[in-house]
Amino acid sequence: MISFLAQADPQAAAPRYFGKAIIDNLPLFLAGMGATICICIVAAVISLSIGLIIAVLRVTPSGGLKILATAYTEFFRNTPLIVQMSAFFLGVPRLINTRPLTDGLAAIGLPISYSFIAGTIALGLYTAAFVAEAIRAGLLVIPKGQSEAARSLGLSVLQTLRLVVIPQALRIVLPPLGNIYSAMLKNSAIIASIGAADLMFQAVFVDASTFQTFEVFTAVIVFYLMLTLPMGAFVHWLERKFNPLRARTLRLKGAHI
Amino acid sequence: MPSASVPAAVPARKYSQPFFTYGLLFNVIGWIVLSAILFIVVIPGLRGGNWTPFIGPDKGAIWYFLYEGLLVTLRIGIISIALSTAFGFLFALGRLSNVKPLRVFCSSYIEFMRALPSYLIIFYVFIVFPKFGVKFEWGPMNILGLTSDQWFAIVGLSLYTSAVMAEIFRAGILSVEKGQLEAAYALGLKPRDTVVSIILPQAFRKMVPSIVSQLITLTKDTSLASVIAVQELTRKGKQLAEMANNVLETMFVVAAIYFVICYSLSLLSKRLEVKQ
Repeated sequence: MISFLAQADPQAAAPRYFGKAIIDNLPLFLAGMGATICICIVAAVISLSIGLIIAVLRVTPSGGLKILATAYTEFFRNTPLIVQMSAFFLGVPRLINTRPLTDGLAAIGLPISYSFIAGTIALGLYTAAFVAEAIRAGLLVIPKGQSEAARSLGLSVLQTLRLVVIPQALRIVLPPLGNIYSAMLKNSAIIASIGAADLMFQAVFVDASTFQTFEVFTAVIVFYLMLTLPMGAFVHWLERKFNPLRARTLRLKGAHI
Repeated sequence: MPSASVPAAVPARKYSQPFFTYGLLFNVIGWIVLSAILFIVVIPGLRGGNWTPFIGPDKGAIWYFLYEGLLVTLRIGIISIALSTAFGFLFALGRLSNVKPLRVFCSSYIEFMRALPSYLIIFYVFIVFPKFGVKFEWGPMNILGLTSDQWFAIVGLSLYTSAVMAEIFRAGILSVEKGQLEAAYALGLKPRDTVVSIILPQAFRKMVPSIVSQLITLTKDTSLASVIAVQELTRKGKQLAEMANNVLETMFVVAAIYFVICYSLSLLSKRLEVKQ
């Protein structure tokens, strides 16, 4: 028995140095980082498509769907993500059978657990409410004369939005969208609370297996900074590039010269 | 006479609303979806007895159970707001100061904390601080019945939110025009008087919407305390859902309670914006 225990812990004899737990478990951390990036990309696609639809529904003058879209944004913006995720993860399998979905994904070579799917969709739906709000604000800033002129030239409502309003609104909307997505990257850590193996989850897992709490969590902070700081720099660049006020002053300067 | 030359006999073409418009389509789809939610989710739920804990004979005990959690949530939230506003203000002033080491320290703190997930910060405080002997078990910290776990949540939330608040304060202070400062100096006001009576009142008006929206985020983030075993609203809701075996309904009720708090804060913010 004693010899078995001695064999089970080969690291006990090996010299310990600061950061050994990280070096030994680097594949796990990298897998977690990859998972976080994948979650964010999928959730970004979901949130952008749903957010765009909802923003358009909120500015078009129509009854039923407008009420629905408003209720959606207000509800998802004003409730915690962790509650939504728990409801999605534990509640939805009671309404519909999710087994065919996970089985089907496994059949095409994507063995993803349901916690991943539920968490990603919940993150996407949560972010979609903020995206919709940002896009709506952008659409409302465009002077009403623009859409009236387009309408009186004979464009339909959808054509007006597609050809006249949205291209102009995009410039105003992009900087806040960057902020929303950088917040989404940080919010994606919450997915660990429903057991999807992202970076945060791997940290808890490695901590539980190595007991090097300080090392592991400090390393995870560094890993998260490696994700969020480039994102923040990108958002900053986006803000500087697309700031309409700055663009206007620059143009005015050019005119004076 | 020009008016006489206009042929009056042409009848004005009557404008008629076309039968089909996209608006009508959207309207019909909207009402179909709304009624589908009603008939597929709400009514079977009511019939199946999943709402019984909230409307049945034991409703008093159930609501009191959630009320206790709400009290903890509010306590954590309010103390975090106070701490993060105070420290955020200090960090903002530090970042704007002329002393270089202080400025570098405050800027790096703000950028560092803002780039981290608040979930990670709370977890870090909870799991790493005790290893260094920081346990928040000192007697006077038990004021208002705050347990050690709740202090971990408060400290984690405040670390993150104070950095965000500092950025808001800094942006507000910088948004006051430089001419105001120069005019105050020209009139002979001391630097402290200038800041207190010229800069801050103007900055504060511009900061209110951002501050309130950060308060909403903070209120939502208090739910993260549930993962470090604080008995607040979300945690209580999860326990209730396990006991009563009705996740969707309980989570809906919990979400509705958060919604009432956050939505009233956002209405307040809109009111304050209109007033300016």
